[in-house]
Amino acid sequence: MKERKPLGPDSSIEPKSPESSTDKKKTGPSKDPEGMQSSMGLRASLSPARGSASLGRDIQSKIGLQLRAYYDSLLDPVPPRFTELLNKLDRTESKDRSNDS
Amino acid sequence: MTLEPSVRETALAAAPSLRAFAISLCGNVDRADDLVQETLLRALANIDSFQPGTNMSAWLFTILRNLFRSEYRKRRREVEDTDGSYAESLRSQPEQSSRLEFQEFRTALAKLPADQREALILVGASGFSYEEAADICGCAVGTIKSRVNRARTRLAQLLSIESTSDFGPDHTTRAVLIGNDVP
Repeated sequence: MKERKPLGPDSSIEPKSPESSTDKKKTGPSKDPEGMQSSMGLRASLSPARGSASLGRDIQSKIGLQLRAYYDSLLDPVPPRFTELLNKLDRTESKDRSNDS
Repeated sequence: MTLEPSVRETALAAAPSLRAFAISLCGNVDRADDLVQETLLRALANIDSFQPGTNMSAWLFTILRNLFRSEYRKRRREVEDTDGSYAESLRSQPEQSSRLEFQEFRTALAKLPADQREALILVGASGFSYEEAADICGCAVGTIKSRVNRARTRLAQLLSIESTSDFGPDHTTRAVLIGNDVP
């Protein structure tokens, strides 16, 4: 049984760190290298540098959920012209067949 | 030749997913509808070459994908609608709260190479097995697997999706852990 969780706002949106305040800017950019480095470290963890190492299961499932949500949003009922197309061809072919006999 | 009711029903049943696949390939609803229509016409014209008992849906996807590819080769980069004017024409819009996330996902998906994107969608959304996806794309199963893996990895990068279960600690600790892990 697959469980489909709705995509909630909590699933992947990370709250912005409150420490990245703008008022620190004036003291100079070299003052706060740690924040930068930690976020770069996170980036690095996602780089594909480690050969074919596969993603963690939780990442895969997040992507899977988003992918299906995206796809589901495209699953509108097909335009009636397709149904008409198939019906029309069906009728034409039935007629052809009855003419044959 | 007559169209078996079951064939027509199967084709109709497959149509919404076929259309969703078409939209995700070409990023444009009108073009996707033309593609689906042409696919159905081709399929019906060649219905004799369909092996009863095999997967009709996969057969239709194969036709559509080949049509798209030949058309794509013709026009190359003429039309790709990556910023998504088609979103407005969709009726089932996602909820407001998840719209941003949805938008980001769509943009990221559009950045993937076409072969990775189609592999990921066939396996991850259209519900085909790796084997079926390989048949549809006319390549080896291993190729599909690696395309899907690369697509996922790239999406994770583009969306900055982070692991939540492997590491509980805060970012700094995680960065340290990751730093130590580098050979």
